[in-house]
Amino acid sequence: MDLKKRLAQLDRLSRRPDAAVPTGFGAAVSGDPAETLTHLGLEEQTGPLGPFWMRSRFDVLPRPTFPLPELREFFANQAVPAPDPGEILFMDTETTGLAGGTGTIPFLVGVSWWAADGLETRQYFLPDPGHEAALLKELADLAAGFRVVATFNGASYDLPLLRTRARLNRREDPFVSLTGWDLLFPARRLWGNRLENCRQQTLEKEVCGLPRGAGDLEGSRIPQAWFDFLASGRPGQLPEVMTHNQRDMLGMAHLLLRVVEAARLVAPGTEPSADLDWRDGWALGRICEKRRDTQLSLACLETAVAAALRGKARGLGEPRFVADAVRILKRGGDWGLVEKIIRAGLAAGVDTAWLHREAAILYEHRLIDLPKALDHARKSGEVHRVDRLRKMMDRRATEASCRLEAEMGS
Amino acid sequence: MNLAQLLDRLKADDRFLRNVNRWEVIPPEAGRYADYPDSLEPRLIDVLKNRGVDRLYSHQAEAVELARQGHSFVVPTPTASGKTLCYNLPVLDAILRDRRARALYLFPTKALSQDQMHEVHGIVTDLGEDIKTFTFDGDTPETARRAIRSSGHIVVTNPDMLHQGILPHHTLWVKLFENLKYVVVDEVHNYRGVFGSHVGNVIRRLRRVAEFYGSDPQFICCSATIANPGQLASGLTGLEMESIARNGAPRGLKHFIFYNPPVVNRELGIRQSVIKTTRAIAERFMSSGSQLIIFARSRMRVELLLTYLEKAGRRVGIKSGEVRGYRGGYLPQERRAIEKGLRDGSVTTVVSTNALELGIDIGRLDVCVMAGYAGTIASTWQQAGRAGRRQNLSAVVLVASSSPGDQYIINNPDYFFGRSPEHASLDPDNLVILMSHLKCAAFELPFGAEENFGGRRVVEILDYLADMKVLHHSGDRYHWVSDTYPAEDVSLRSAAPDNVVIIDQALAGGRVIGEMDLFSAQEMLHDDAVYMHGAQQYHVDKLDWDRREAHVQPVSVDYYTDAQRKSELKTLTAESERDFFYGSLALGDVGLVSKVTVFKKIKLGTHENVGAGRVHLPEMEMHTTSFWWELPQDLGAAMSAEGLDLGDALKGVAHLLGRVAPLFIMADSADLHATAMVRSPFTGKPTLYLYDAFPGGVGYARRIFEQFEDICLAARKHLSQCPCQKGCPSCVGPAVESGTTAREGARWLLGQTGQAAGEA
Repeated sequence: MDLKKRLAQLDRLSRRPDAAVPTGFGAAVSGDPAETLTHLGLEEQTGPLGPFWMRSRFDVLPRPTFPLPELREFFANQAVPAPDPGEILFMDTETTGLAGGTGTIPFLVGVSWWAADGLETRQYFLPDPGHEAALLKELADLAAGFRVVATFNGASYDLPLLRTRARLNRREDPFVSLTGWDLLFPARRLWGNRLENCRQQTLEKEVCGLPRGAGDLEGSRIPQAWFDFLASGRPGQLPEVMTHNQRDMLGMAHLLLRVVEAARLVAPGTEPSADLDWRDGWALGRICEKRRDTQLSLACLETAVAAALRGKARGLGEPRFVADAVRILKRGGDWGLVEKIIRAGLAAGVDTAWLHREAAILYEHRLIDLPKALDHARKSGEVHRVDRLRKMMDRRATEASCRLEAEMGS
Repeated sequence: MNLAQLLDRLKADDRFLRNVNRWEVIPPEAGRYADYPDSLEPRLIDVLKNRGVDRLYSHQAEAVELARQGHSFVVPTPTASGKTLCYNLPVLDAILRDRRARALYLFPTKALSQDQMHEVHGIVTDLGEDIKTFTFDGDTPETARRAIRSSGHIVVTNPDMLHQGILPHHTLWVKLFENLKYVVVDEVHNYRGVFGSHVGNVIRRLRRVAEFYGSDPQFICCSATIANPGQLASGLTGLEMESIARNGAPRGLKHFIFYNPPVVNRELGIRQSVIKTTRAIAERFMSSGSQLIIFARSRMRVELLLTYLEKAGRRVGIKSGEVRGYRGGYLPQERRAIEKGLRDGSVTTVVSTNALELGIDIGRLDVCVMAGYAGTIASTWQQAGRAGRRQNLSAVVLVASSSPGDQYIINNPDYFFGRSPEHASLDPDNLVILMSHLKCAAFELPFGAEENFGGRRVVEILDYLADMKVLHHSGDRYHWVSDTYPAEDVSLRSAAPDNVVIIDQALAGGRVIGEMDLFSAQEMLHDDAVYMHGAQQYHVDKLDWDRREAHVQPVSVDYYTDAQRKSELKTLTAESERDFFYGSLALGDVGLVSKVTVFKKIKLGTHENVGAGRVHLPEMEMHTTSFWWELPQDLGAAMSAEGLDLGDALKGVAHLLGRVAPLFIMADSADLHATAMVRSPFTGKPTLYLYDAFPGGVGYARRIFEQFEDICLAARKHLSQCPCQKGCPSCVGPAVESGTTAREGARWLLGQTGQAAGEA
């Protein structure tokens, strides 16, 4: 038996039954790759390391006004002098899989930036894995003109992947001198508590009001689109991939606009607006807390609690909200308000040991209402506090009766 | 009574001696020493002298010298012979001279890596130098990984982690690969068969990645005593390996006792159970105050013995916490605690699988009892080395089971005590294994069409993978173009990559108490199985096969369960054929489908069968290499004429060969399966198969094909020496399994080969 047959047999028999069998393309009509590239609007250019393929696009999108607010807490990185909006490069890759590791190839790298009146986009496409070095070189040259690279989940995916690919091609990381802004971080902080997930599409729809529509390609089908092209030379679903990639960057730019808006709301020294939604107040309050801006975080939470109480306690059934509110409001010392949120939380069904403990502490030390403190201490299961409170109450009762006796006796 | 007194008493005990086939007293041996080589960093010498190491053993000095000359080499190292210095000295010396230098240590198990790290750490602390040593394995927290990648001078890991966690992410390890000076491969004798063939390919990939970064590391390998350490290490690393011939470490006086349990049923040839016998012997040693280790061959036996010995211990005042089990499937913290307990003496008795055979530091034990032959001479010596590590008096008892392998060894002590005849082998060019690793390698770095892998051209396989659309051929390179992560689908240790996790439902929220490979899980964790873990019995409420979860509850019952696996074999192609004295022999590819169908409930203590149940689990499929013996078409008729049954005879011969052959080809009996067909659909004749128990095979069947004359002769001899009447587990299997005429039939059938060969 020749080697090929033997390999086929071993492969078939050792494969797990549920593993997918690769689809063959032998029968499919082959296309002309060069024609396909033209059809996709890609132009071949020649760089110092060989040819690369690129197309340019433009979308109308107003750029944010300068100067940008402080975004440090939003992006979880060191202080960088706020960039000019034109110094931000949006970047997104389409790759051969999410598995990570050296064998994943970014076959399409899109970058966008704000020109005068809109978003300029360039997409670099890899028609063959052999031309990667030229692509990376072009990308690096372009990136050198920017200060920030903005991505969605790029901190853990796109950027390390490109770094890996650069290393495999014995080149420097194209983004080595840029500061990374991963939009996923602020998105989680700002909107994570109200959305079912923090996927980019969800955020675009719910936060920016930009649903992708039916034409958008499902992410899981992207690798196969490229594999199909490699095998057949035909465009297949590549046009959709290119559009998807362009939409991703447009979506990022929209998201950044929303982040900037939110950041302006809590720029140091501002007052939170009274008509904030409770979830926005909550999220912003947490961000201010992280910045150690006690006053503003307090103000945000007060607004949020007020809104929540107005909204017939919808948010008060959310244990994390109640917990954050209690923690932050305690710093303000308005014990009446703290009591209000605790009571509202308990009434809305946040019946946790933790909240009862907070209530017990509040009544014992701040509001000096021992029977209430005892009641909550019991519910929180704190044996020592129950003991202590009981003894304190007994002592006070004894003292009171002694005093009474003394008065009556005198 | 101390150990010496107990041994004296045993020597005078006729009832004990009656079953002793050999009482070997191995004399102590003085050490051979050498001064520190001049080339070694003086700081290192100072630290060692301060630690009381005034001079080196000869093999340590030789190692330092070979390393300095730039050689890769292998050192034979029995248990506790100071092997760690053989690699720590060259490695630390290199790092002291050039702080950029890096080393990678490979140990076969996670447990061992942990242990070794502490060792190096001690020397580094004494040196007062900033040399960073880290373990990197599945338990390493994500937060620590970045620091390890960039700043670890010595990275201690295992082949699995190298395969799945490091090589596919080599770009994160630039510092390591650019400066990789040494790769240390410990316990190299473990890397044989399937595991070794895989690891050989992982090392090919390692060297390929290192080359990409411009480094070409030297390899330092350590091995237990086997016949061909140099050859094995060369096969594994693909390098010329120097071999250090002699170990200079001293040895203490050791008593090595071969104990064959008495025959309890002469007609069936059944000997007293190895478990019962081991239990009785272990109890005697427990009462002598000795610290002892008992090796059992399966996880289940470990648990059984543990249950018995805990009870026995209580009778002589040993608390149950001092008697512990140790095996795969226990969680890491539990194992660490037991290891520590052994070192500090708070654990006095441990029952273990071969998991403790490897060089984990458990301190000095006095006695080792082996419940059954460990399968190879090398392993047996490793296990025996657990007793008397530091020149003290020690005792080792090998208790034979009824299996033919055990019986062969126990009845031929000279075979054991003579020079080790074992050759460990591996086949990194096994096509299934090679192809798996080519995928991983292509994922790591694109392949050049002219590039060699393990010294061979692989362009044909690359072309095949390109046809399968997992590689893309462009220009003169092959690129990985699939959305999968190939290393994830390749398990170095077994055919199946998955594990079943074992969840104790009685604990709030369900707690994971262990895990098990799929193949074993079908046998031990099927619905209604009684699974033993840490001497606690668990009832398996449900094995959720799709989710790979076994849900168990602690119970206390007086039985255990034993599942039966049924296999079906389909011959695919014959690759080679040759004539034989009787019938003909062939080697080829077979497909195998196996399924666990029923289980038996067996009463603890008496071992009676007290019930049974059905198991409903999917089939496991495998493709492998098989040897087969085609017998004459008219054999059935010829045997009937003699009043014999063909089916019984074939079953008997299969049983016999399946247990004798592994001794000749240095395989574990679990590595090889035997089965017989009265009429094989492929050959159309009565046919007997012996096949590798691993996908693709790793060369066992091939060796049987080559050596079948010798194996057949040994089987015939073994059968004629067996004292049973109608077949027993030691020869053709008990009559209830193989049939009442199995023994007679097998004797007749094997006799034909002798007659045909012209023997008297």
